[in-house]
Amino acid sequence: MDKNAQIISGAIEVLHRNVDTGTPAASLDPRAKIIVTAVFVTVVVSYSKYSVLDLLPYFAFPLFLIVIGSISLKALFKRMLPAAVFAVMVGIANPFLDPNQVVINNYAFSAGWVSFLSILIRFSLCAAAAFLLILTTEMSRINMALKYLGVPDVFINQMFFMERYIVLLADEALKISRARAARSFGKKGYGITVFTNIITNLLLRTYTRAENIFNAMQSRGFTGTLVRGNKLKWKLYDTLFLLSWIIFFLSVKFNLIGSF
Amino acid sequence: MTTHIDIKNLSYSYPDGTAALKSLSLSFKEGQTHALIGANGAGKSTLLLHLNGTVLPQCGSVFIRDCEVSKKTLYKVRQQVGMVFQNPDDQLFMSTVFDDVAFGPSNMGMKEEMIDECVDSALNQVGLKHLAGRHPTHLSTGEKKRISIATVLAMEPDILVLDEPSAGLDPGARRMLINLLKSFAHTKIIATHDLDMALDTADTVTLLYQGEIFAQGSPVEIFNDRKKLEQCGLEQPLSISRY
Repeated sequence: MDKNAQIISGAIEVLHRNVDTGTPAASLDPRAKIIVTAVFVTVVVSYSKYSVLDLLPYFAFPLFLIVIGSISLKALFKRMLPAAVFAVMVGIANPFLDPNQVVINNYAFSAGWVSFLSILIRFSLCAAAAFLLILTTEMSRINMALKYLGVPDVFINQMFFMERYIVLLADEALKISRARAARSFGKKGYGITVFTNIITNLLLRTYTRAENIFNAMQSRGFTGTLVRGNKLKWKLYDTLFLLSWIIFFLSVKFNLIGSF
Repeated sequence: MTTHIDIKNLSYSYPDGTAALKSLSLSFKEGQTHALIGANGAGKSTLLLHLNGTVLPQCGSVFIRDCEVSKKTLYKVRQQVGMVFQNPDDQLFMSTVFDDVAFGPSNMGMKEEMIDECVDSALNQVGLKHLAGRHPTHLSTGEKKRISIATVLAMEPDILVLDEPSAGLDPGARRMLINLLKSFAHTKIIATHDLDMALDTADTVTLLYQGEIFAQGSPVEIFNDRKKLEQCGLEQPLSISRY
């Protein structure tokens, strides 16, 4: 298979996700999960740039979701890996730009490497939390929760369509890639002209598809609201989940239960 | 039999200047199945798009009973005319089959309990109630086509307009679709290249050629006229030409 086709096929496999609706994680109200995840991310990024050991207790939250959501670590890491590249790019210069030293538990370490490690840990925590939210919640329920939480329709509609059609668009890209490979006779690379033509083609197909979808929506009375937020039912279980994790995050942040 | 759809001197040209329809006049009777046939580019899809106001006439008029299709009457027209587009992936845009079928009734302002009933009824009619919780991406083409029809049935229209409903279906799925269409009492307008399906389901056939009506009549009359069909870039249905 053409290398580009392999990459696109891999992306399609990652994008296709089936949420196991029978797990305790899936039965949690999506509003509770979104709020807890938002608080989690806010607390984690609020730490100073040399924080490493202080962040370790926060792994309890993604681990909890992995267990109650029966999420495979392989599935999670597959999704985190492409994003990890950006985290590495952000922090890789730190060891060279920050020659100072920091003391952690009476040991001196290079400040640059410590801040790089802190970036990687924070990325792991936040990315894991975000992906676990998506892996344990159907997109329709996430959208309903966002609607309830007052997010404007225009943003919800964008996320909605991105989730629904990204797989189809990746599929179109795959077909174009295969067609190109079948007529390239082993030549590597696109050449910028061919690449530009392919991207233009994909853009035009996307535009036509969007028009067709809009016509279909209008034909069924679409007025701007895709998602109605009135099918969620809050339970005691959700209150316990929300309060216990927020208390935990704040307790760790303000050293109420001690730190390492 | 009363006239359900009345089209008078309808003309339409695309922005690039292509004249898709040229002063076309025809009518469709209530309760009948009408097939629109013609080569690629004959104007079938463009004509269908006029029936629910997706495209508005540049010249001429389209009446659904006594209601003229215009910007002001789009809501009323779209309640009466259910359009099933050619590509089911364009029609199925929600996260689950249930949500897709509920989309139309929900936008019509129906109450939740009524929406549930409508969705159940529509899915039962197409025999796919068991797929209500599934993501449309994971369905076969035949299932998608039938769910697309359900999305429109749920709005309880009087008229069903279908653009190439049997395109891309295997013989089994095609036969299921034909039987399904035959079971509906709605006025049906079907644009199709599947001439055998038209022969099987239609009460009248309209043959379009370069945006104009080339011939109109019963399926037997139209499909037995090999010369006319060939002039329009078509062939006789296999079930006639072979036997």
